[in-house]
Amino acid sequence: MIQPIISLIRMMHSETDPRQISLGFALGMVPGLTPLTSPHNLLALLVILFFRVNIGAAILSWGVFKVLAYALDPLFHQIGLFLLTRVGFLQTLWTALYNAPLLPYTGFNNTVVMGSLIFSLLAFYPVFWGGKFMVLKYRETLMERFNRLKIVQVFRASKIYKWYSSYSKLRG
Amino acid sequence: MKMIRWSGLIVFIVIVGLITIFSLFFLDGIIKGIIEGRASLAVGAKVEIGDLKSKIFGLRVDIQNLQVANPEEPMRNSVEIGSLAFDLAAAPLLKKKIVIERMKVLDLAWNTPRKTSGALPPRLQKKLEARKKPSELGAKAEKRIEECVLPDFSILADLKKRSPEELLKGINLQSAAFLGDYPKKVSAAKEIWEKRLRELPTKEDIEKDIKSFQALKDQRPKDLTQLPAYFEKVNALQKKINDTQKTLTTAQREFQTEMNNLKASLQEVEKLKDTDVKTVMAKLGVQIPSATDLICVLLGKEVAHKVNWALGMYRNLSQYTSKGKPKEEKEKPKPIPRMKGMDVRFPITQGYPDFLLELAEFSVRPDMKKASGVFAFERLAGELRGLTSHPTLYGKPTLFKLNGSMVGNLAKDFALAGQFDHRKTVAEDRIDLNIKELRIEQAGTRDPQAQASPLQLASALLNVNGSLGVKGEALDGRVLLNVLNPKVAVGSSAAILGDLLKNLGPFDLSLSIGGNLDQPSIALSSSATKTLTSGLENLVQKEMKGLQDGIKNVISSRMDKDLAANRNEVSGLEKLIQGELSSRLGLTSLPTGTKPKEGMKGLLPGFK
Repeated sequence: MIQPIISLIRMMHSETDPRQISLGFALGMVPGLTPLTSPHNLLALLVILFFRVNIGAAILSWGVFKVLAYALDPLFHQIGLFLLTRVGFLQTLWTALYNAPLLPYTGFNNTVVMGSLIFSLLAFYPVFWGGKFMVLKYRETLMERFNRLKIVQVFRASKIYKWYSSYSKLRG
Repeated sequence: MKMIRWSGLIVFIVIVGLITIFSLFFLDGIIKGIIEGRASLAVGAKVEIGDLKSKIFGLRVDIQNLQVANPEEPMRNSVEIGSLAFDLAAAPLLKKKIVIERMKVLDLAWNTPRKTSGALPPRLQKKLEARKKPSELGAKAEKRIEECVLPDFSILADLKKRSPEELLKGINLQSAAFLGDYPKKVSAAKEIWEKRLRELPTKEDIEKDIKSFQALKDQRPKDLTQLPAYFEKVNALQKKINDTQKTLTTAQREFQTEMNNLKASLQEVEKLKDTDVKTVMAKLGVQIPSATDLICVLLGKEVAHKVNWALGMYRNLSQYTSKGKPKEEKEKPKPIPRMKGMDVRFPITQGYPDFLLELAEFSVRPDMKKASGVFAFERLAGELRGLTSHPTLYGKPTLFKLNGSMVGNLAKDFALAGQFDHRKTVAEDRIDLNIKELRIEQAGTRDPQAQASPLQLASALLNVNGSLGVKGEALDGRVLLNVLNPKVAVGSSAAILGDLLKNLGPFDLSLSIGGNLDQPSIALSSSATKTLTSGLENLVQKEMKGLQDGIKNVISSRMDKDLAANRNEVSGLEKLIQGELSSRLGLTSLPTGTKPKEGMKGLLPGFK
């Protein structure tokens, strides 16, 4: 758990493409906002692992959005209920999915699953774009100040950091 | 920059593989846990599975030793199943539909003892409380028949020992109150008539008029010219006397009517005396049971109790069955728990319902013990067909039938059958029960509760024929019991009825079930009512006549003095007023030959 977060901090301070970090953050949002056991989260996990996105950013994002999801749950239910019951032209689609093989197991007919999934898909690009913007801004303005912080300098001089650095180098 | 991370794919495959292996390895435990948890919440008591084995490739589930605890008696199981096995259809499972083509339930037993308590743990209890619907907490079946009791006849013997004076102590008698008020009525009438007498022409006035008339008659003018004025005077005076006579006659008639009414109202006392006797008997707790009460206590109460139990079972079951609804109709959203959401169901356009049990075959564990009050079966087997979550889609009603016989030839033939038809908007359910030659033998096995009962059917041979129809919420049912060779055990509190019930012949008992599921009503009728009614009347008359007569005599003796005094009061008033009116009226009689005749207006007789 600590390792990916340290890796995220290192990435923020490295030359890593900001898109990798923000994409990890946006992808981590999906399992964060939607119920964890929903099958679509396997797909999100596959994308996070298979494509070169920052896993640390994804794990951090999952934790942050999990907390947020609890607060937003009534909203997700309302969105899901609206889409599943009140949008006339979608009824045929839902009925077809409901009667198709395997698809009922996705839990698409659950109001919270549907609401949170739609919410996270709609929020995906803004979060990705916002994340990229913030990484860039951080590197431009805050990184230097962060490096000059006493606590950071103390931490970098500590044995733990040195031990971790040598361990990382060994791992490649 | 490389976009693909192949090591990530391997990690993903490893994670998914581990999850799959874990699920397969612990699948039986997971299914067992889910069934136990959900069923426990549905039943309200622990549902435990001894062993569960599933075969992924055969889609077969074998359950051994399933115990469903009784929520009312946690140390007993409502149902225990030795073995339950079923196969799931593969194709519908792809669409998340559970279709059981054939289920075998063996070694079914109920009301079996448990080693540990079957009460729900506090965590599940809390969940259950939160789920409880208002209707579950609400009404129970009609209690009238179940609560029927016989009066305590032993009180009669105690009362016989007490004197009527003692029994009447502290009781307000209506007849006494009436006689207490009666003199006031007489006084009021007297006052009114004395006032009226003062307003009527007095004796002096009448005598004066008569004298004037006599004098006028003697002073007949000789001059013919004065005759018209003379006649005018005579006629005027005669009219006045006649008017007085008429007024007095009317008053006399009115007075007589009022006196007659007063005398008649005095006769009310006799009726009030009878009412008083009834009131006294009622206050002493002496109530006469009806023949229906007798039958109700003897058998109806027990049958009504069983009917209520069956209705309760049906009501509980109906919570889990699909309500009849038109095709394509969607369920209404319900309040949802946080973070769980709500599953919206869509019309099933093709294939199978979400749940379908096509055929289940049952066989009951043979019970060799003959227990009182519990149905123990020597042989019982049956089947259930077409239990589904979507009856409209399935297109057939759910059918069930059970056939068997009871332990020790207690009942030759037991048959329970029925159907639950929830295909239409209004569900139509029907249950039929037939028991042939059910033997009741309770002599020597009377439990303390039964011993406290005044009447008990000690032995009889019953043929039970019952049917219950439920249309929507409305109930329409009938239970007919043909009771042969009845022998009645009479408790000490109803010993008086011993002779009456000794030779009770065969009779029918019918219970009509109506009302609705929340408020059922049960009415009882029996062919024995007529015979018992006449017997009961004779018995009560014989037993209570002495006591009633004694009370009536005491009331009469108390009232007689007051009654005589009141009668004298009325006679005195009658004599006084009537005498006065008669004497005044007597004075108004004109001397002979002076009364005018009809058709001779303006001419006095004797003045021709």
